Amino acid sequence: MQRITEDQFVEDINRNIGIIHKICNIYFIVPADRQDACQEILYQLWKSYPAFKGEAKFSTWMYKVALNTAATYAKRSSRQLGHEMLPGNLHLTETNEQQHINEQMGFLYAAINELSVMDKAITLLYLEDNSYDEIAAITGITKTNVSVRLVRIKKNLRDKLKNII
Amino acid sequence: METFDPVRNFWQKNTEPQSSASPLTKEDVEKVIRARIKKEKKIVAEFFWAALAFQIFLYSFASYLFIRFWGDPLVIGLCAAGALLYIPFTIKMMQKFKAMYKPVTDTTVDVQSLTSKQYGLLTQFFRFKKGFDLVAIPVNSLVVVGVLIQIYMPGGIEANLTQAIIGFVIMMLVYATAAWYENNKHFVKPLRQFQLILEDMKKSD
Repeated sequence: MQRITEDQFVEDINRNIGIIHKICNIYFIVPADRQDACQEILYQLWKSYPAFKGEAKFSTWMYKVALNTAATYAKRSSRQLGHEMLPGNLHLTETNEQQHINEQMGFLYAAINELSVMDKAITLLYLEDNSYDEIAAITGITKTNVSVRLVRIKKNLRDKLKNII
Repeated sequence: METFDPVRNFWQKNTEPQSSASPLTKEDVEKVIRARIKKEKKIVAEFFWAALAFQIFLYSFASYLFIRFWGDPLVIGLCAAGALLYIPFTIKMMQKFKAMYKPVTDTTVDVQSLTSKQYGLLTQFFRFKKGFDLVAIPVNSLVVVGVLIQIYMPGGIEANLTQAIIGFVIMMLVYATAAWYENNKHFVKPLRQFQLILEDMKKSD
């Protein structure tokens, strides 16, 4: 990759770096797996970048490559999401309020983690304010299917997070 | 909680915005890419050198026996069969292996299509590998046992047919077990995982 493209790549990635972190946090419970996955996603993005022609939004393209990589590399872990496994980029300042938020976030991640590979992707995209059309375009399932799945996912998460959030 | 909004609001308030996480520098990216390329090259190189070393050993052994036992049609036939078997199969295997590591060039396709494509590539390679095993395992066993008995046991294969058959069966079992472990680790388990993902993606409700 030439220098100018490399600079552009780093700039584009940095504008959307949160996507990589959030996907890794949702798909990988174990910190070491999470770090490996982040690197794998970055590598796949770098390999695919020359083929990005700007027809779609960069973030949409990034979601596609990153979610595909995460889905492919996701390893099922029997370990439960404990406090020590909270994603590293959460703010862990130990004020009472922050501690409470971290605990709530831990429950939310644990609830999402129990979803299937595709449902995790849909949940993340929905939480990140993507429209049903965008979710359908990224995942490759129909808009109706996205809608049906989201009804089920929301009910599932609502039940699990009752009295927590 | 009647609506899902509190969860979505909580998420958006307490997770980092897309661009606020600690930014990467060019050096960070280069470091990751270099490490990852090294890892990928190592996987390919391991496979390549293992295959090459095995080929060199096989061809050297066959050439030696070919010259040493010139005139014995059985030994010459077995050696030629062993050597010839591997040339086309290895070329084909390397081509297919290389295809699996090609970068994704069409990045406009969605996650489901990309996963299907990867599943297809792996399935295709595994199908080829199973075909290769099906031919290579018995031929290899036949060649190795046949040559050893013909050379080192008085009377050759004709006088030691029972031992030759037992040796052939044992050799087949050893090869088949090794192939089974290899296939299970590199193909069966990853394919099963792909299948689960694809099945989940195709669920209509």
